[in-house]
Amino acid sequence: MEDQYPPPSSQFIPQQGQGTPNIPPQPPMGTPPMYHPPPFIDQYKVPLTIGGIILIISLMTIVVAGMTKPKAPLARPIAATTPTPTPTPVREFSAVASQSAFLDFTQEVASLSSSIQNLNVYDSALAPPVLNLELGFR
Amino acid sequence: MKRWLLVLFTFPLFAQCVAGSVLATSQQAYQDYLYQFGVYRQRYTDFKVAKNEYEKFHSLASQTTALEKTKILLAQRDQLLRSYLLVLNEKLNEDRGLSPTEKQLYQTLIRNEITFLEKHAALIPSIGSIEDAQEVSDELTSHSKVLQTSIRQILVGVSLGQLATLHQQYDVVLGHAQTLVATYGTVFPNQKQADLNRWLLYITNKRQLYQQKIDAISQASSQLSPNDANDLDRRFTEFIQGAAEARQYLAEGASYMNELVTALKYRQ
Repeated sequence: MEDQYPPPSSQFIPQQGQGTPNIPPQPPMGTPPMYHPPPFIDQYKVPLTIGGIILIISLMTIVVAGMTKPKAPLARPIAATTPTPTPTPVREFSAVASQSAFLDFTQEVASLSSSIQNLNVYDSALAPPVLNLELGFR
Repeated sequence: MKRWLLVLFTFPLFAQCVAGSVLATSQQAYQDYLYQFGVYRQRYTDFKVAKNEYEKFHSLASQTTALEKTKILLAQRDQLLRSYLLVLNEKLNEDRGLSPTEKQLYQTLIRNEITFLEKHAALIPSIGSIEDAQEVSDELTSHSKVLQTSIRQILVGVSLGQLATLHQQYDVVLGHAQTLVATYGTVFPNQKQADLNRWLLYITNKRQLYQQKIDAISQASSQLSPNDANDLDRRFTEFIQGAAEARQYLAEGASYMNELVTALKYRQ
């Protein structure tokens, strides 16, 4: 055990009458030196390295995925299309349509419809006068 | 030649003047009625003022004034009702839908009421006191129920007459429709002919519904005997609503006629 700790050098032993050099306190002879834990980085060097690698790989994966993500197609303006009207079926006139009797009948129906619509069954102007028949002398 | 030309050009003008005077008779009667109504309102106001003064002072002068204003009011009241009945009479004269019997029935009612009013007006000059005026007024009041019932029956008659004119026109057009289908129906396919006959059936059914409604109104109106004024107004309202329903039947029949026109116009 004594071989582990070499004896202190004489240059470090203060001589009588000389200035005391600024030397760190030496552990007493025979005691093991104090344990100074290594820095944080040295202590967790391996896990930090692994974590950093994983983080870098994740970031690269995210970037690559974002670059390769299919972009949503741009909304293109839809051109307003006019609805195509359904073609009206062409109706063939009958032999009656050109007859004068039919034409007169058409006008009669129109006249009758108009007369019915315009009829007022009760003319309010003909309402009887409302009179107060009581003289009130009694 | 010149004489014939003169007659040829002046006759239409003369005929138009005559026709215009006939059609304007009801308008003239109505204007006279409105004038009489305005006079009545003024004389009723004068009567109220004189009556209030008499009831306040009971002086001989106020009594004389009140009696004078009362007599004027009673006379104007009879004149107003008479002018109103003349308006109804002219409306019946202008009507072309009612049968002569129906028109005579309504004009008899008018004549009876005018006769009563003329007899009632003849009593007014003999009124010598407030009590006499009250008795004469009470005679009209007691006759009011009969008078108002007759007026409502005449008004229903006027409405039925207008509907009857349309009904006559409806029958003429229906006859032409039946002739057209009978004459030209064979040019159409069988299915189309069935459609045409169906439209004719619908048009005829509406006419029957109209006639049933008119017959019901006419019978109920002739038997009108209300309990009071409210009952009279309620029954009269029912008659007018029935007339409106009858008109609706004609309107629906006319719409079916339009469908028939369309069906006849095209081959398919």
